[in-house]
Amino acid sequence: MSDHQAFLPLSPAVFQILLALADRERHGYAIIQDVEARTDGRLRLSPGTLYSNLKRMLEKGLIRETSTRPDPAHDDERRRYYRLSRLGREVATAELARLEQLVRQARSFGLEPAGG
Amino acid sequence: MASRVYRLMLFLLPKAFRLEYGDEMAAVFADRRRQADWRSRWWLWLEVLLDIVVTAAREHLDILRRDLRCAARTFRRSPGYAAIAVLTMTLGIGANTAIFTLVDHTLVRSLPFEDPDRLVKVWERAPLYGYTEVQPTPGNYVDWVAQNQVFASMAAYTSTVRNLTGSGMPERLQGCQTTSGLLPLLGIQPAFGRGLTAADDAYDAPHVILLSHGLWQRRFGGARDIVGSELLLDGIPHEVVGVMPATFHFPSTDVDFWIPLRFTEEQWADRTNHYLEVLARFGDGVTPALAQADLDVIARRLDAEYPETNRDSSIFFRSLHNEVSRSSRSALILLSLAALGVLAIGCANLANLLLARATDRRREMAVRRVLGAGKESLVRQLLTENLVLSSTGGVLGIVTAFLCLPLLGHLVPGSVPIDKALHLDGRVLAFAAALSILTGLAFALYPVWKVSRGATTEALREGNREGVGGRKSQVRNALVVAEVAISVVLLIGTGLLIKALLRISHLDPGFRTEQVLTLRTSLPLPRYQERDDRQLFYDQVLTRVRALPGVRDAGYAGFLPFVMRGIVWPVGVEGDPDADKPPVPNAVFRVITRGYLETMDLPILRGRGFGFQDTAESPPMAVVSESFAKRLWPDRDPVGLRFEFLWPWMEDVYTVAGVVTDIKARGLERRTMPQVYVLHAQAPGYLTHHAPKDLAVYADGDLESLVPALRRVIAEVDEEQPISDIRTMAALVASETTDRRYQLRLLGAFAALAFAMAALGIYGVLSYLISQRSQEIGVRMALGARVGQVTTMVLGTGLRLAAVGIVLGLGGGVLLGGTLRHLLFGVVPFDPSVIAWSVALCLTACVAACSLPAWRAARIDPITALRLD
Repeated sequence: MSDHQAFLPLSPAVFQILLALADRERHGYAIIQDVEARTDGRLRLSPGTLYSNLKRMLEKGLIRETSTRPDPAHDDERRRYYRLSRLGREVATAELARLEQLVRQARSFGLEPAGG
Repeated sequence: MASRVYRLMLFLLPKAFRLEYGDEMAAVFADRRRQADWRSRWWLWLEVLLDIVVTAAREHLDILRRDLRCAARTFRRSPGYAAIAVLTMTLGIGANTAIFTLVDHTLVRSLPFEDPDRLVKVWERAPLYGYTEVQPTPGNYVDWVAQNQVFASMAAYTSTVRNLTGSGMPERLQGCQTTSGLLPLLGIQPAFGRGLTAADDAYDAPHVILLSHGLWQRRFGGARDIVGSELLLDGIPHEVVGVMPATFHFPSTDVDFWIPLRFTEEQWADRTNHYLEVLARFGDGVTPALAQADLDVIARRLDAEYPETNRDSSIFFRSLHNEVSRSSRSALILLSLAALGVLAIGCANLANLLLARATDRRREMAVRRVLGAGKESLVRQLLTENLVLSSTGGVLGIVTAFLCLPLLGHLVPGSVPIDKALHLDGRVLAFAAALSILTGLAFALYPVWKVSRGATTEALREGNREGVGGRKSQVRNALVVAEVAISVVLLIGTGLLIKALLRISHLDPGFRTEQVLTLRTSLPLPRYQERDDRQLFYDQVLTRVRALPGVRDAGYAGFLPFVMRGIVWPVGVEGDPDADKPPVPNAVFRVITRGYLETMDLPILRGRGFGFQDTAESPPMAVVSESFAKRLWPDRDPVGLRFEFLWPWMEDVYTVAGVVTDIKARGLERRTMPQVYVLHAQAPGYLTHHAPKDLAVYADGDLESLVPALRRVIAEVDEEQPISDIRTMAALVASETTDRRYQLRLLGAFAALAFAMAALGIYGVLSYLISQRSQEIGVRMALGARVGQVTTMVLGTGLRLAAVGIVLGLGGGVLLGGTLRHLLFGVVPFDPSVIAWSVALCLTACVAACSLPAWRAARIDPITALRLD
């Protein structure tokens, strides 16, 4: 567990990339689109940000490149697909736990989001 | 088209990143572009540009951080290497930064005046008097100003000395008398107060004075109300009208004040006395050729108009910048070369070290390549390591240079109008930074080339062995040879200059230098305008001085030897109709008192010295030097013969009373000229400038302890009279070689440094060789080679390299000596003793450097050596 703590807190970009890869393997552009859709366009990853983050996440072992090509309809041989590694999943979970704890603490002090 | 532009932009990214993700990024870009309409495409481009720049910066920094971390790890693993490399760079860059500061300050940087490139000093050639280069006369200056069409402005000045009395201790001040145009011509304003005006030039205008910043601070504590107050200069009140800026030094650094140059009309018409310094500024669009042509016309016109003074004379000019003396220029160039030599040797050493390491690290590199590191990243890693080393060395070098600057200030010649204080400025720092980077790249060049050619997987298979004949060892050997050669060149240069210095210091100046104390009492005018008043002062002082305990003799002279190098007058034999035809013999003219020749121990060879019988009323007599007598009367006994000075205003005919030996009157390194001494009591009274002012006292015991008594004696005779320049004759003679001593010390330090580094270089290469060949040596020993054979082999390898270096260095040294010829004072560039010493020193160092590795080689244990690998 303490190993995972070393990665925390995750930057929004890294966390979103981890989320985007949580349910399925995606290629770079798909990650951008997914993140943009889930955040209602508030977080638009630029290619530079995306790929330097992917590079570091690969180096740290949070994600892996896959050899399978799960999306033959839109396949383009230049595209590479990424999936979450076990470490990546654990780190994402750890971040989630951290955020949950943060939210619990905030609530216990009486803070609530305006709409909720 | 758009995707091609995008791909071009991708080149900002590090290569590895681009290769890895470039295609995908291009694909993403293409997708996005398809989805954007024409309006949002502009935004897209802006976003893309920003994105790539930010990403590129981030990636590059990331790589740099990794490389630096890797470099730090490497240095931690081999701290000795890092320390040696940093130290070498510190010394090399420090030496070069310091010398660059000095050279930049004295030779390169333009003078601290407005538009300094257009300032020239104007000189006269007066073959009639045997002058190839002489200060102009007042009469000629006036005509030049009136007639020239090429100078925007001209100014005349001359150095002067005044006694400042009144408040505080009397003080003798060095100053400059100048026409009012000088400051505007230089483009300099006083720090406060006013400069000199045309009204100040009038002969009968009120006396005014401009103070130097130094004098103002030193003597008046920087009080601003000094302007408007009055100072007593030679007893005459002068109103202070202004104070000059701290950075203003003209014509030299020792000037304390400026006063107007004032002449009567008659003095302005004088065409016989060459003593004015003339400065001019080129007019707009005037070229040197144009100016010379104009001056030639003027010279011809004056020649026709005043043939008796201006026959065949001509005018020429030299840029003010080039007035820096030739000898200091070549000394500075020499020092720069020496500093570069040190740096070059340092680089060679480091290149060798790095090469050795590169071989050791071949496996590391190969492993890294196999693990996927690109050639590019290996090269970058090497370069980063070197740049870290060289920039650390650079920073330390700048600090070293900064600490050395006060010492280097001594090497700024005093005769130039620039500050002696050196500063590190942006140019110098830029120079040092550029030097650090260049050296960092330079000593990495070969290993980097090697790696980029492909440090291949073969290295993995290959053992650690490397033959002597290998390419890499050839490069290493060449570097060592170069190091030895450079250090031999520096040793020879230093040796030659040491020999020249020794030769000069051992020159016999021809007069007594030990146990003689000298001081100066410049008698102020108009108080001492009359000859009899001056004579009374000398007589009273000398009588009292001679009565002091321990004093053997004392005398006054117009100028001590070396103090004044000029006043060389043309002479002719009385009644000789061809007397004033060139070539006219010239003689150093000195006015003295009785006792001076005895004090200076100039033996009378013929006739007699000056005695009590020589008075103002008796016929004027002269004591001449041996060469003077030979020159004028080659075959006759000169005593009783008569001669005259070929100046229209010197009417007296002198009779030779006696002949003394020649002395080096004008300086140790200058050609001496025949000398004439005349007695002050008999010299024309109007020669106030030449009147005795230097007192020489020959005494027993400690000379310093005599000073208070001398001060008291002079105060008794005239309590207003300041005393200056108290020093022993020995110190005066030693000061002749001060510049050389400073230059030599620095050059010697560089040579020693170079020498030590070269020795280290040889040691390093041999040690490395032994470690590489330990198996081979082990095999040989196992096969029966004796210890002596192994030692000889190692020594032989080292000494062969040294020998080649020495031979090349000898050639370079002789070439260097040739270019230094005018600094060598007759020492030949291939002086055998200097060459022998240099070679011996170098060989000794090389043998020393070889012996440790040789000893180690001899102790190699065959069994251990063979078991390795």
